[in-house]
Amino acid sequence: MPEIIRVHELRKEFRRAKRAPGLIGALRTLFTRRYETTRAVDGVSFSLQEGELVGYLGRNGAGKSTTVKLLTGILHPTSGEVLVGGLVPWRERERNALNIGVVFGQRSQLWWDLPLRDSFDLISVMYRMEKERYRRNLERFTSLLDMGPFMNTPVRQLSLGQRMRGDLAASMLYEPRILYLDEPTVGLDVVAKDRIRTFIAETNRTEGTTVILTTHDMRDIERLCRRVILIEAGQVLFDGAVSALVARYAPGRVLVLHLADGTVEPALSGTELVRREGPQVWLRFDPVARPVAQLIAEATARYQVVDIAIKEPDLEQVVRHIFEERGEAGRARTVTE
Amino acid sequence: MIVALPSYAKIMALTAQTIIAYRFNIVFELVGLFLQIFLLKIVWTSIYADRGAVEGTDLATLVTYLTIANLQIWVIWPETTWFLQRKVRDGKIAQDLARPVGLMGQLLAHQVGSSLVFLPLAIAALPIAFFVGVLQAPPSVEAGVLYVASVLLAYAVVTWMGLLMGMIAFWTLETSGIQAIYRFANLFFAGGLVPLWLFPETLRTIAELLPFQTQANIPVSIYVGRLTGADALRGLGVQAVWVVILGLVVRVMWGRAMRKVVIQGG
Repeated sequence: MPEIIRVHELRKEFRRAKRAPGLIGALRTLFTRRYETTRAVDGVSFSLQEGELVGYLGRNGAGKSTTVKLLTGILHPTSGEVLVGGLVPWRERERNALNIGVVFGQRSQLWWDLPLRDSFDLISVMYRMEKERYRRNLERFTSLLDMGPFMNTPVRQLSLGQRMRGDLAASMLYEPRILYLDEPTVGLDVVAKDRIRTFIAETNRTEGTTVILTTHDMRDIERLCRRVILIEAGQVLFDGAVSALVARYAPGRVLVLHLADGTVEPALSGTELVRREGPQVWLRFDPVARPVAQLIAEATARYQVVDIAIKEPDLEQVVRHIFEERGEAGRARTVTE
Repeated sequence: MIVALPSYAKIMALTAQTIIAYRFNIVFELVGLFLQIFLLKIVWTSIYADRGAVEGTDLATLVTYLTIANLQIWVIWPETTWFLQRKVRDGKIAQDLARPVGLMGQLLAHQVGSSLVFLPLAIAALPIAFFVGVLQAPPSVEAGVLYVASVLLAYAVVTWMGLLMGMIAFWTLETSGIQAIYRFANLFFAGGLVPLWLFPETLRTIAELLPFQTQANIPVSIYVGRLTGADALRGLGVQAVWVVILGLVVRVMWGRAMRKVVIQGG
């Protein structure tokens, strides 16, 4: 598979006027302006092969959306190189646009006051689609995403899930080679999320579309991505397989105990408390050093246990663990005062 | 540019559809507009009393000037200001920038699309204008032709001004203050309340140095026959100069705005 996206030592700094809080602060900023520079993306490098589906993870303010905007050519970087399908996005933004589809989950691209179909019509014209191809694709997406019932409804009357399906279809109607999905499942219910995930997986598999997915829902990642790129403070913290991330940051397994007495501190040798929710505790252990059968026997002998389970650590826990450990250091950093 | 023409046509059509979706709003706007014209007529009729002509213009011609000026100001409103500001503020500009069609073209298509709704409506409302205000035909065919040319130039001036005001949003995220000033300056200095020839000397000089008079005063003065021959052509010249100056400013500002682009919530 050929390389389709290359990012090398990418940096983006923002200079913002510093605002003091409160009314007096607001008045003061009218006269004295102080600026601070934040480095939202700080030396990010990675490369994607055509057809990959990659999860781009990070906390709020870690630099995810900024990276996506640099890749789409909307933002100019402070320094660094980006090649998307052989183009430098910010130099040839309009040509690059023909190759890419973008969904910003929080912001719809659809025409608010008009029937959904009108937005699709405009997109078919903008992306220079032949009539026949447009008709075929629209039919396919309409059935895949079950948009038939609301195709002629003004967008402002759609539910969030319907609108998101419309947005996804709008970004993929013209079969872009690359798809940037920025929180495509945000705010959706379980059924709607599942429908969107199935659709993304399907498109990636059948069309070979390269997908970069940013999300806060680890189930999106578990369901869709084999590879994740984790960024913190604008830097790549991890780039590799989801399984490798779990193994590296949370080796072993987890023993989940539901204790009869919620105040007890379980102390079992060779285990580490990773989480506690009332009477439930999560203890991590290495199954080689600490055989499962023996551990369970010891736990049930020493404590009154209501329920017991052994789990592979999931991505959610791993990521939470990483973020908690790093604390506030993870956010975009201020370079100068 | 050429390959984008179908996109512009489609954007114009969708813009028009959006405005028509809020047709009641247009009805209210028209009611307000005609009320304004009607009140101006009452006030000016009272001021004129029984005087035949003031500064060489009779009452009917003066009210015709005000009627046409106000209709015209309503039709060629800078739609892009509010449109661009809203896009910048809620970050939707990101989607529009990630299109294979340039943003400036999209904005111009939006402006023209809006006018394509307002122009036929204003023409359809001319009979009402005839009763509410006063409407006289231009004194000559020449005046009519020059008026059309002058309106087109006025349209270009308004379009540039609308873009300039909208672009302020890239720095401030908010343009309602500027729009309020514009609304007033446009009405007053363009001649929507008092014809410029009745301004006191100093104020009139100032008004003639500002771009606003090119939007209504010049074309409407041509229409009612106050600007004729060489004076009318000089008026068109002044408009053309403003089209060029503002066009250059738009170009420079646009380049800066594009460099400046910081999408909200990034």
